[in-house]
Amino acid sequence: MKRGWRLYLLLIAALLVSCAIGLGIGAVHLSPGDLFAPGVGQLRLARVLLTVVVGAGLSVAGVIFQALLRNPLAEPYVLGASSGAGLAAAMVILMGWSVAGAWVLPGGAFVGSILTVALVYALARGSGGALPIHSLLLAGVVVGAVLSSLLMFVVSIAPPERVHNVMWWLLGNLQIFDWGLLRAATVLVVCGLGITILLARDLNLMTLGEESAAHLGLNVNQSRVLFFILASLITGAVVAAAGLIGFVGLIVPHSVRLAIGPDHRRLAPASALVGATFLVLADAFARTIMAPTEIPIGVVTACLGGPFFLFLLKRKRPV
Amino acid sequence: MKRIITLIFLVASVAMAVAVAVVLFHQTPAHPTTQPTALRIISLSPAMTEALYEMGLGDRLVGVSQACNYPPEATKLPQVGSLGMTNMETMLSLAPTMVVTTDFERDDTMQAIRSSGVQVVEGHIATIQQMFESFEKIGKLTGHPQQAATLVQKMKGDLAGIHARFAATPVERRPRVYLEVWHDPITTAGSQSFMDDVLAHAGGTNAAHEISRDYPIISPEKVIEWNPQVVVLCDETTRGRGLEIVRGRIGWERIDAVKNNRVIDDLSMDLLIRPGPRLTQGIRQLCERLYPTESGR
Repeated sequence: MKRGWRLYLLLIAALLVSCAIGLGIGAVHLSPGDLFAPGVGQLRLARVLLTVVVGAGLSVAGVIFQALLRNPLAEPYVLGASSGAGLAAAMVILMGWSVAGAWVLPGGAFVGSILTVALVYALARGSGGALPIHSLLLAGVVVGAVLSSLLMFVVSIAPPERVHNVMWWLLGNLQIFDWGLLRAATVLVVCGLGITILLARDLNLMTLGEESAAHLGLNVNQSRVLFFILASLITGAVVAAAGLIGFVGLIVPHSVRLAIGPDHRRLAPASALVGATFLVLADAFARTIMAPTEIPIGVVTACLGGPFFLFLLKRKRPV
Repeated sequence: MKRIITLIFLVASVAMAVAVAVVLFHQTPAHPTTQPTALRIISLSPAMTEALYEMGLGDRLVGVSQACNYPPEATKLPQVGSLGMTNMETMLSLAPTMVVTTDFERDDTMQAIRSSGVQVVEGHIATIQQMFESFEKIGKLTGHPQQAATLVQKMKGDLAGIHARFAATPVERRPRVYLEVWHDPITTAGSQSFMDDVLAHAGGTNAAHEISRDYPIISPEKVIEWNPQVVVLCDETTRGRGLEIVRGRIGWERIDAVKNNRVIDDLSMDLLIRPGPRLTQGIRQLCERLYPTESGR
């Protein structure tokens, strides 16, 4: 347990340092005194906070899905949440509804992602309320593919100037203008993270396989449904607030697992901290590398995260 | 089984033969009916459509894009698609001799049109000067150079009239304007954009002039730092709610334009971003909003 505390202290320190970097650099030069003043300071503070929430949320959702589906390729978008949200967001953008208020686009994306995973759930549910993993995966992948083609269709008939905005949403966008939105996303992600940590033991059991888990006293189906809803809500909140940011939910859990092992009681909180740290740094990079122009965060997470993960993989062969 | 395959093959061959015959039959008489010298123009550019009508070439237009919404007569012409998505077959069926394109069109489509013997006139316009040149070029190509010259002269006169309104205000005291082309992600107009030139001719200084691109996506904190005196929202759907929207953004309430209620959300973008004959009307409207009192005193 002693070693555990040291680990968390280290990770929290890393997150704080990355937040300091994220707050300190940007398109506009700020002195430390301006940081908490209204204006640029508040805007940047809101953005860094959102980035922490999104990075943590994506990573925790990735941890849950990897355990739930017992599949190393699982990530927050594996069950179609991304395509559903993407389709809804594209419709909102292309129909020009997004100007009706700060909540329309995130609200639409959230509803789109939740409806999609609900559909996947309904399709995968077998007789007697069983939720077989392979049905869940297949239903998710197929529903996702269908919705992606619908998204492509909508984009193909859209006026070119709006297509650009849809593209940006699909690559992730951490610009935030509304405290309410930040609060809503934070509440969902923090609650989801809390529940995950409390039930981390169940996640451990689930990775052992259906039978072993049942023998060890876990109601497998009930747990699956619970984690499914939990991960979907976290993903929905994150997608609504920031669009689609790939790679974080896939590589952060794997990297952390390579470093500290597969115990979910430590994996979940550690992944949240590492995911937040990683995304804050990636966003700081995206905001400043071509400032005042911003580059899409999804590009940065893939370009920085991919090689780093491969490096880890090469150094320490996973079991 | 073999029989069925043979049957299918037979039906397919007959259908193919009929199709070939129809195509050949259709194409042969098409040529004698159209005079080779008659000018038949398809304009994919809303701005150029307006200019062609202005030069008295409206009756030579045989097709337009869906975006060509002015003058009202233009909307009655056959439409060959929307910006960037034109239908080749519809275009060729109108037997054009000239196609006026925009930056949005696909290169391969235009290449195909060109190789079928149709004159393709490209229209990349990033400044008002280039707009005048495009009018003169199309005037020359259509045998209407005089009309083009008249149009250019008239618009230059308009610009001079507008300039008089703010000429007395030295450049450094002209209002610093932030143009918001799109709100999510925040997109503005840099120095390489047509809007930058339009704004200068309306007496404004573009807050984003330091960015030498056309329509860059920028950090919203940069806008707070620029602290523009006027904000112009280019998305017409925000009409009437611009101030409320901009003021509601974290940190933006401190911008001068917000503090002084100078968020403009009701300009007609067709007049302001379209490099066509009505541009000077749009510039005049913008100038009157930037300088509410005569000559800016």
